[in-house]
Amino acid sequence: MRRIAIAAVAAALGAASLAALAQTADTDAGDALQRTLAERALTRPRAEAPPVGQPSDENVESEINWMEMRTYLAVSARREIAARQTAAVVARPPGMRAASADSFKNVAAREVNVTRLPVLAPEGARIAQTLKVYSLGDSYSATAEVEDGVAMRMSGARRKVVIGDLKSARTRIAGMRKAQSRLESMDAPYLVTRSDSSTDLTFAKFGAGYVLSIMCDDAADARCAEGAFIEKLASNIILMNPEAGDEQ
Amino acid sequence: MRNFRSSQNGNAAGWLLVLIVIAIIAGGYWWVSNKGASSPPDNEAPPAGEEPPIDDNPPTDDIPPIEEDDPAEPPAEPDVLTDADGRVFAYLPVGALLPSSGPGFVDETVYRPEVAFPTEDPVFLNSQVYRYGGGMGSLNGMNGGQCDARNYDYPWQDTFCEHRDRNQPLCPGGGHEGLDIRPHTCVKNTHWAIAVDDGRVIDIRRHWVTMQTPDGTIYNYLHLNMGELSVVEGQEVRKGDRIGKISNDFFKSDGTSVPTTTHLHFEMYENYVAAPGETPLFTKVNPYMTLVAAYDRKLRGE
Repeated sequence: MRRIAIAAVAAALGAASLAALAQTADTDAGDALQRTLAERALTRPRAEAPPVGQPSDENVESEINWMEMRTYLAVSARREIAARQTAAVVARPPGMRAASADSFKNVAAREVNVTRLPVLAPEGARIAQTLKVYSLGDSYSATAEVEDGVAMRMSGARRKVVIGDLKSARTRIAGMRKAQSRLESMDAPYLVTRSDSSTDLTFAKFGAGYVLSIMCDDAADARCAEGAFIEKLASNIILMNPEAGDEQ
Repeated sequence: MRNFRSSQNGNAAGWLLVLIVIAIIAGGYWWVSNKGASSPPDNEAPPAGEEPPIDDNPPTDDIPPIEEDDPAEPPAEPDVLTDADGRVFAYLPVGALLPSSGPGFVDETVYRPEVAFPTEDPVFLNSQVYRYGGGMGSLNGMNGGQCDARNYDYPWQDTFCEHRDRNQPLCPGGGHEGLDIRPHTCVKNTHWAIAVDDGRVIDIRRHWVTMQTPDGTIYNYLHLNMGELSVVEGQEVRKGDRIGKISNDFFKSDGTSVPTTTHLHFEMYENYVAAPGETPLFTKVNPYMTLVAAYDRKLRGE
């Protein structure tokens, strides 16, 4: 009996000491990692700023193809009329249609009128009620609530960064292009990327780059975690400045 | 036989004694090494991929004081850049994430070589999830609270494409498409985030402030003190203008709060091509080297 008691005490002490050793080892591992990070770290010479991976050009202005924009608007309209004639009840086919800035209660027409690229936004009842547009001339963003728990932002830009010879970025671009599919509404390649703050759909059309972002309350929400919701959102696009051109 | 058993008993007692002595020594060593440990343990660790919990009683400032040298002999200026506290600015290479924290993404591009650094004070770029106070800190033996002094020191470390649950082309396996910036101290609502460039505030919602520049670049500032911003939606801002104080605001659209650490989550979108004439991609990009270059200029007083 006495032997059993001694053995039990010894076992308990042994287990406690092993646990303590494990925790000590764990803390030591953290500190050791900190030291390794410090040894691997780089510093910056005070005498002269070292060269950085600068793109070959930060601000190349794209030429907007306004004629293509108007043609595509007409093509979309014809497609919609044809769809209505071929079936009694039919969902609107993917495409782009014109909508005046004045038809949105929170959109200031001035913001749309000063924008030097096609102002695009997704269509939707809740979006129409909450849509706002902010212009910076060569770029713009439109923001709105899409549904409960989902907000959106659609941004466009006519200036672009030219990466040039920076190998890592070029490799990334090539990889992203391979992952592109075709966006039917805009007849353009598109790519969906996801992160913990948004799900983004990017495409280029009429010479400008666009990104549609949706932000969900919970990134695990299927509307953000899967591509179907954002792809559907991008399937019907409104154009708010159909009369625009570079003469403005 | 009896002799053998008694010899066995004697051996067992001896081993037990040795075990007890080892246990006492180990326990003592553990007690000494943990006495006055850097930080009390944080709340229960969150599930993988989630933001870490908040410290209940963050200290006002965990940064150890800088030792002063003999005043008779002023210290020689180091030949590398130092911050306002005299600490050497050090950073790990782009894409070099903490072990077990994700694939990272190497992109050495300084997308905007002229932008300002997005904070007024010196800061520390490192993981909120895989370090002290983070839900996954124990993976690397980094047990402690978010205010642990070791979180508030150089070197900086990239957190772009740090592991999260969602798969995507940019960060295979799921990733964090932004950088986490700890403010100068662990005290929230104290340190300012500023506009990195001239532009316009295009969205203020839940726990983010978004600005855009005429170039099209979009900058997202997350987790500021949303109740006390210095900007309003639609406002034009100049490079260096104050936007808000770094905090831990994190809300769902119904106003429900989600726990997170005190930090600025910073994102950058660019419209870019590899070569002129190509159709552009407009996506989030890794701002790490853009921020390294901006901090370099900040420390030089440019």
